[in-house]
Amino acid sequence: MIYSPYYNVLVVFIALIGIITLISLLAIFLGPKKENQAKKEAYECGIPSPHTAQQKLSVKFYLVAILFILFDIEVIFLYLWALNFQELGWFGIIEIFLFLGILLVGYLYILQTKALDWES
Amino acid sequence: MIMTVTLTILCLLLILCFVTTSIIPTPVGACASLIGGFLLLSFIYGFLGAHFAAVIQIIVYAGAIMVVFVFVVMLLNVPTQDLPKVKISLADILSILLSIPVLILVSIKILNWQAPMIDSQNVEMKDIARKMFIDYLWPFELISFLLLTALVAAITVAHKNKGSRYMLKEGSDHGR
Amino acid sequence: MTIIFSIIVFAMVLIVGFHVAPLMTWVERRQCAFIQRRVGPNRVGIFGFTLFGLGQPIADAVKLLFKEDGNPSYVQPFFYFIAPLIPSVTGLAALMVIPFGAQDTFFGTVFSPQVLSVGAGFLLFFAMSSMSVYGVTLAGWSSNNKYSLLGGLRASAQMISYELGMGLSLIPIVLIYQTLDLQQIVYAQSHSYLFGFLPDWGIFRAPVSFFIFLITIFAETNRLPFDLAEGEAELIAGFLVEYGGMRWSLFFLGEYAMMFAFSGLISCLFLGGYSLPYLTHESLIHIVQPILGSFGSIAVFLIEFATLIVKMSIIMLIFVQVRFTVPRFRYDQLMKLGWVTILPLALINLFVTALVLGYSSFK
Repeated sequence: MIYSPYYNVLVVFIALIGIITLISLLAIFLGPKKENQAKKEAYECGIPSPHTAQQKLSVKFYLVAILFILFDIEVIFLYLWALNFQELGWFGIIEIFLFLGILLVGYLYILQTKALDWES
Repeated sequence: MIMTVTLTILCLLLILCFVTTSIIPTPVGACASLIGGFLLLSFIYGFLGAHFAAVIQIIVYAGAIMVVFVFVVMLLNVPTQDLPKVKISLADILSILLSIPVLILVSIKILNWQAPMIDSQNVEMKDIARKMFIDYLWPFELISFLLLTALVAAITVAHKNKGSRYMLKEGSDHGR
Repeated sequence: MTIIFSIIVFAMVLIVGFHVAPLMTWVERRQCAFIQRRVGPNRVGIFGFTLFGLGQPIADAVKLLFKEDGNPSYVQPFFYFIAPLIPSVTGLAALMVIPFGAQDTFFGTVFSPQVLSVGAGFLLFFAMSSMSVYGVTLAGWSSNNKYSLLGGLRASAQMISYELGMGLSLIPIVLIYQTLDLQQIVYAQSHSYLFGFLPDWGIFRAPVSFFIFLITIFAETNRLPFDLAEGEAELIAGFLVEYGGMRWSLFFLGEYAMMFAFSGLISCLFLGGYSLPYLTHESLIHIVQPILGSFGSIAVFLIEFATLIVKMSIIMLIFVQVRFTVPRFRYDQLMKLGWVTILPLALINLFVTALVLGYSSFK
């Protein structure tokens, strides 16, 4: 049998999901079940709610998430470079500084347009 | 032997996840099954020896890109009544089931496809890095331009117009 | 044989991981009390033995288990059920990447006490923390409660903003040690000395990284001063408001497990991991071997396990100390800190480290 360390990962995940699900089910079955209408309402400071979470949300969340993707990809490339730092020498440093420089222009653009200012 | 069985089970679960993505009517459910599919895909990459791809699949794809999808779905927050109704008829299910043997026959007979040997060659991350920074340097630098373009596009799309922006600047000097 | 050892180490780590949450609640309450010049819980006891109030977490756990599991209508059932599972599973899984002892020959088989030693090393940590964002987001959304949704989105936006700082701040460590494998990083830290007398720990080689990483993990685990998402006075209880009983405490199990896992990562990367300061693994074996024979490797493994747990506990105490010392950040201050302060600081740290290493290793 060819050994792969991902067997460990699979076993760990299945075991953990099993245990935590067991705890959840235990909690559901061990507690009393006394239902009344007030408990079923959404907890919103006592104001009768229309039972939907619809509200106007800021578009900044979307922007934060997109910018996170872009910088996350950059971080991944930086990890690849950092692993081979000694091998790639000065040439590698110049390459990566060029890469970071272009993204730094993007970062300065974010700061300048105040795209991430949470004033609301 | 165990590897074959594990990979087969993972692939079947993967197909199930992606089929669920297409069928499930609620958008968050579709996103969740897509995330589950990516997790399984990352396991498959790991078993085949592509350690870097496995980890990147979770960090970038399931952990960043799907977060954007989930955020957008939650920001739009379409109430369940307004979602389009999906009705799967018997004809749909039969056609899906019949297409699988046709696909297999076509690939074996016409495209000469053979079941690959499951040969997990461990690809070290250092080798990937070496190849990328020495052989594929030019595409790598171009990627930075791609990311810059995406950044500018995202900000342009999501930016408030100057006219409708709430002018809270004066007086909202938060505790400086 | 390797499988049996793996299962034993997995069981040990799992037991430790499950006991972290109750112990941490006790530590928090006692330490909070001492900081505030009072005594804290010391009444709960078993048959009259109150051991510094350690009966309190047991009583709390039993109470939470028998509490009624809330069943608010209008929640999305599937996501309401799985949302508490995600932080717990990812937090405990992140704990499995940490090496708890050096690679050694235990009864004839070479074994490394690290449950998950994949090719990507500690990048698995970032994978787990990326997935834990979904726990918060889905909990907030599935509760079908306006404030819960807002709290969940804000908490997840905060978590992803600081994940960038976290990733960037650890790149100098990879530059210095040239590997992602935690076992090798701890080995490198224990086997060389800086300036002749200091152990070659990451904290002496990359102090700014340590500082930035420490700050970002406070934000990742939603701990004060970044706990706007679960703060008592903000947005009711944030994304957790519709959860009660054990499902609520599963979120905290996940949070404490993630905190413990991050403490483990800090110990391995910056504080020398399982190794004692001036003793290497080989010298320990040398000392213990004549007394215990072939059980020497097991004894050394237990010593190293205990050392790592002690180091992790010190970092957890820092977590608790900061919680009761510093006031909470407001949300826009928090996001501004993440994007405008931490990100450039980490990048400058990276530049400087790369240049310094470049000058010193290849002229």
